[in-house]
Amino acid sequence: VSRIAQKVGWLLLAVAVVIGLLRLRIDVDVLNLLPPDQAGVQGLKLYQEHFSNARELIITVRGTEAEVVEEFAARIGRRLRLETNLVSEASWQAPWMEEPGLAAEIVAYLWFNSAPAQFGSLTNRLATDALPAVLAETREALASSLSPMDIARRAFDPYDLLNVPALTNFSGLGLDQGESMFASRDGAFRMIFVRSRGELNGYRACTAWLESIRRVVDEVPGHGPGRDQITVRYTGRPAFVAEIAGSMQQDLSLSIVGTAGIIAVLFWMTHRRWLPMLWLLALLALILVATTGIGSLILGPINVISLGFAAVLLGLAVDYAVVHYQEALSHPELSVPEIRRAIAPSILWAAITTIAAFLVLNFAGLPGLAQLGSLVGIGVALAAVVMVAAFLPPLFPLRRQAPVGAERPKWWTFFLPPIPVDPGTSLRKTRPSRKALGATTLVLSVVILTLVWRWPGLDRSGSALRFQQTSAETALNEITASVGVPHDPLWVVASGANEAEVGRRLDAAERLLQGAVEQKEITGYLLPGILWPKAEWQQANQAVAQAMVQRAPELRAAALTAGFNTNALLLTEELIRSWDRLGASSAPAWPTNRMSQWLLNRFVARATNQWFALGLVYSNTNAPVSPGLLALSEEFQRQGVSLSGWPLLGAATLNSVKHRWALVVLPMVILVLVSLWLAFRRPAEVLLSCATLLLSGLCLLAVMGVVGWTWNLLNLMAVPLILGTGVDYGIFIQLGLRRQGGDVAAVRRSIGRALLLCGGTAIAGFGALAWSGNIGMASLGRVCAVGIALNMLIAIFLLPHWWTWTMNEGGGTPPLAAPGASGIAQPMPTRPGPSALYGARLWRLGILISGGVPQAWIESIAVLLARVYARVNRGRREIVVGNLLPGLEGERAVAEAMARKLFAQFARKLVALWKYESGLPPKVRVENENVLSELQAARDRGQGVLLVTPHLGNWEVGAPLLLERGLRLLVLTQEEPGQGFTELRSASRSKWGVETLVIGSDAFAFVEVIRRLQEGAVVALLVDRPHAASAVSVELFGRPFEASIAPAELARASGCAVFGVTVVRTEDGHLAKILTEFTYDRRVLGNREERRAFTQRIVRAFEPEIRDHLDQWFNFVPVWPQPEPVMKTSRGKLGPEK
Amino acid sequence: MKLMIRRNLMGLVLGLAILVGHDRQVFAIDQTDLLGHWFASQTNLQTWTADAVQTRTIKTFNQPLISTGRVFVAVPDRFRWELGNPPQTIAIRQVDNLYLVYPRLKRAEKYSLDAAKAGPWKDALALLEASFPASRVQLESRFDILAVSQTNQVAQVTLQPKSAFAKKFMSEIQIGFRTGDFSPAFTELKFSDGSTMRNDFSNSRTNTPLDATLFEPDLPQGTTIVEPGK
Repeated sequence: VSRIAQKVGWLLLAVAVVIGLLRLRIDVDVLNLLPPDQAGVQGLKLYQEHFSNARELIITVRGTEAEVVEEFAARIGRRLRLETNLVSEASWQAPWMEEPGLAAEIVAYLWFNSAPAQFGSLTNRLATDALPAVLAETREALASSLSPMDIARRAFDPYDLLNVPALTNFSGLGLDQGESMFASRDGAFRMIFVRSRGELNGYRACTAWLESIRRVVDEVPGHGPGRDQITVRYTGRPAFVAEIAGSMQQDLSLSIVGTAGIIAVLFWMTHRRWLPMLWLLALLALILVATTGIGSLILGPINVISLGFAAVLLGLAVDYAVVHYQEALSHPELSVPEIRRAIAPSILWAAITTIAAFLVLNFAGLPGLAQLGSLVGIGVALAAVVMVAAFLPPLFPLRRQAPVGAERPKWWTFFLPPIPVDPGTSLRKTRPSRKALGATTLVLSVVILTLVWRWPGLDRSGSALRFQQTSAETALNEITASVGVPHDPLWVVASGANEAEVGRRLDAAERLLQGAVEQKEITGYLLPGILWPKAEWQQANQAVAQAMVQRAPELRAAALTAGFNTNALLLTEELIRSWDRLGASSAPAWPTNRMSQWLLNRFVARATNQWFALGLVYSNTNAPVSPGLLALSEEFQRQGVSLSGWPLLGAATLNSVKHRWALVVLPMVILVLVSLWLAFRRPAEVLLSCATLLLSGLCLLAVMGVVGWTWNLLNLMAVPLILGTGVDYGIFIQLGLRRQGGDVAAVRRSIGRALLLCGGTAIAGFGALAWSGNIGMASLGRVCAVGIALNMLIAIFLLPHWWTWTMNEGGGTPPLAAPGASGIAQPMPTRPGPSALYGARLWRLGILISGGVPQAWIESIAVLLARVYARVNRGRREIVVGNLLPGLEGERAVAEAMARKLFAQFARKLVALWKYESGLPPKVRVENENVLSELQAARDRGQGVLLVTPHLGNWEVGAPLLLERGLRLLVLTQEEPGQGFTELRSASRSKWGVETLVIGSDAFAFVEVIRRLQEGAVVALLVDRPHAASAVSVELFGRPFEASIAPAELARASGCAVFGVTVVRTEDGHLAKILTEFTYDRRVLGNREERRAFTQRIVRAFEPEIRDHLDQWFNFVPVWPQPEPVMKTSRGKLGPEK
Repeated sequence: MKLMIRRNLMGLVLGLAILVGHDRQVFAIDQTDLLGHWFASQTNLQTWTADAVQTRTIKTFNQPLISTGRVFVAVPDRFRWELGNPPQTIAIRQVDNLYLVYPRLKRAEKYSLDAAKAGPWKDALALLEASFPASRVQLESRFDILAVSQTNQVAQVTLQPKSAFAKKFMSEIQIGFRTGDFSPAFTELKFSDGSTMRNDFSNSRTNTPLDATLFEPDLPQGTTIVEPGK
């Protein structure tokens, strides 16, 4: 990808983010989390849109004395009515309690809307000759009735007109019920309904309006803590919206800040550096913002619950940065582009797996969860790109550029994982830990017993879709408990283009509900059928209404004659006036006064060209939603009526989720098995990983059972997420065990520690969701966090022992990870060997040419060629630069300059060496003759002398100098590359009386060396770049460095004198320096650690020499320990391994 | 209208309850000791029966409405009141329920007193309990004693509910008992809207055995029982 294309890409991304952020809309409607095509959801939306009054706030007042509560509620209501800018209506009692006369209209309407036979019977009952008997009956009732309600009603209703037949089964309209809509039976709890003056669109408007109302209420005298113990709460849509949005805002801030804080602490504990930590946090913030922007652009409105993606994303995205940073620290010799090239395959594949795991949530059938999955997917993709591209360069400015001449890798090569390195270790036969096996048995037993005792249940309700207990919810529950409203009624919403259509549907609903009551599927229902206008009946009743109007004077006169006064006739006269109006209206007619509207608003709604009627259905309390009820809901849908409600919705959604669950989990299981197979290619290890997942799953079930968590329609999705993230741990550990030859302790120290670090961030990310205001999302976060934690712990502490046991039982070394296996990839380039130019043919040619060409000429040519080589072979040059960096305090520019000198010096060294090997004597002088005398003295004592030197300068040419002093040299060397090269070099040395002994991993070669030393030989040995078998870790320039422990071993075995020697090139030839003798106590060297310390002493003595002549420290292969292998995971979890 | 419902409810119960506040003992006492002796007289009370004349004055009706009846009380928590001859309305108070029976209409209303203790019956039942005061303190915890007077052989105690809530419906309660035997002579409830309900008692008898079936609703066949408020 060209730089221009890259820049254009970034620019387009930035533009997309900005556009997305500008379009960002936060959706607080929990219903939008649910499948929009589900009937229950549609019904609930209809209910919320048309009946859950968006502008109505309910203020609840709880006290101990009914009269105090009533007085205070009235005071609040009256005070709010004064706030005409805020409030359009405030009711603390039913309208007919304030103005009883208003009730007449709705009663008149009910008569007028009755069946013609019923309304017609009124004319017979109130016929002229029947009036005295009717009035006498009323008088008798007033005198002898002991029913308070009867006495109260008949005193104002001499003709018993309030006894409407239709009201018999409609208790909701009973006049005595009016009070129960506002107060509990004991009067100690009351409600005030407050309607806002303006529309309350959005949560900010709700919050501001609610705050204004609170301030007004707080100012009402008589209210305060300890003052009559009155408690005021707020509920209704404005309160819910304000609280949910506010709490979600708080939850989000808390979870994001908390997760970021944990990340910062973990990073600091690991690296203790400010700048990278702050840069990491800045990039994470940028990724969050960009994800939100892109998400908004692609997905549209972001549901407030889906915003929980942020914490999860933080926990996942941080790994990419951590891995990069660790690699950069481990490989100072590599430039940022090289590290990027090395790491990219791991990160890209990890990101792809992670994205796939989260995108699978799109099959869950829950738009909210799908949105969260998509947001995490987008975020992980962005994080992978941003971290790969932007994290390292500012932190390592001197390493930003790729080596000159380096080939720009093709984009697709970033998807190819490099071949892993075979460390060549064999399986350590360790006995299975009894403690671990005991622990496994114990865990399994406890889990099984726990599950037998308590298995986590399945929450079939819709409570997972709700929010945690808020003050508004508390108030709503208090209303339910105090006023006696059944909890969680189901809603019936019938809609139609006109009143007639809605009326027909209400009739159909009535028939279905009646059947459901008989079948005991429901306990009762309330439909507004009697309120719904029936045009044909009204038309038929017009004549009766007019007749009653005409008889008004007669009715009045008869009542007065019977002893009633005019007050007793107020209601009757108002009824007749209403009939007069209704009878003159064109059908269908509606009641119009304030009380009627107040009542109708609760059951009837109208939108453009559409009418809606609401009914309530009471299902069996605490009983799970039965299949019969679900079937009833479907039957309603066929009739064009919605039956919905939270219990029904939860059950229907759960059914839908259960059906889709396999669709979600199956791909994830396949993904897991494929990952495991690619990683191991061995059934035993695949099974062990599966066992880890299985045991952690059982443990999770046990934990859930013990703490009382249940599965619900949201946290069921934890299963694919835990599988997707948890499978990595088993892969890390088992591949680590392979590489470490089954060394459990070593694996736990390295991979185990890394897993704890990376797992910790993932757990923190998911765990942060536990504070989500949404119950389901919080449970999803909790289950994921616990599931991942259990998986991680079992993988770290039990799996290694299972593996050891299985391998021991199976016998032999398990196969190494296959190249390209998804579970592991060695991200670094394979360690380069010596240059292809270093071979017998070219060496001979060099000897040949240098023997006949003047030194100045050949040196110039050699230097030129070396510079060209360094320029052309960027990889080799970078190795050299990397080798030099630690000696130059990491200053890359200086190292690069030094590398150029080194290549030139090396050219000169080759020329000198070729000349030396061609037989021309080198020009060498000794810097410290006195130490050379000590060396000679040791030799004279018959003690063997061991000369050690690093790959510094031209140590070979020092041999003639020693020979001059009577010291014949035995050079220990490795096998040279290529056929005949070792022999060639040996022959060349022998010309100067130098003997060569080739050693490798052959232990018997050392026996020969020891023997020679004991005979007083002078042996020369290179102390750096040892063979793996004799390598020991020491420090050079403050960094781990592998040196040969052979000098210490030989000293212990032979008791020889050990001297350090360097031979470096100067302007006038070579200068040899003999370092002071490295004395030692032979007995002490029996301890390996002491031998390592002795080696360290030798290397430390050479450190200033190397630093002073870095341009002659000729190492063309990496000398610093290779980076620890890095694991690729499906989540990008990477960790070092020793 | 709601006010009226409460008013009548409380009137009914209070009227019944106060009736039992008497004793046959005869003391020559002064007015200041009247209440003390009244309280003391109740310790031996088990049953009480009397004939009653109830006079209701209702604001929307021009003449007083008069009906006769009988009352049966078994201390502490049962009574039966019959109004009309033959009874048109029967009120039966059991431990947990109150029945209002209309034999002619074959209709009965059942009120649960457990629920009523937390509902609109609360104040009315409080009055009932207050009518069996163990002490003056108990009575005065719910009522202010406005006046105690004596006319001929009848003492009259005027009470006012302390609860502002109850006061909204009932402005004043008058209890009259005969100073000779402390048997109830009358009760009168004055409601906030000016309506009144007065019961005058005669032929009262104390501690005569009463058939337990008196306190069971003897519902005519075909009677419909309704539970208002449920």
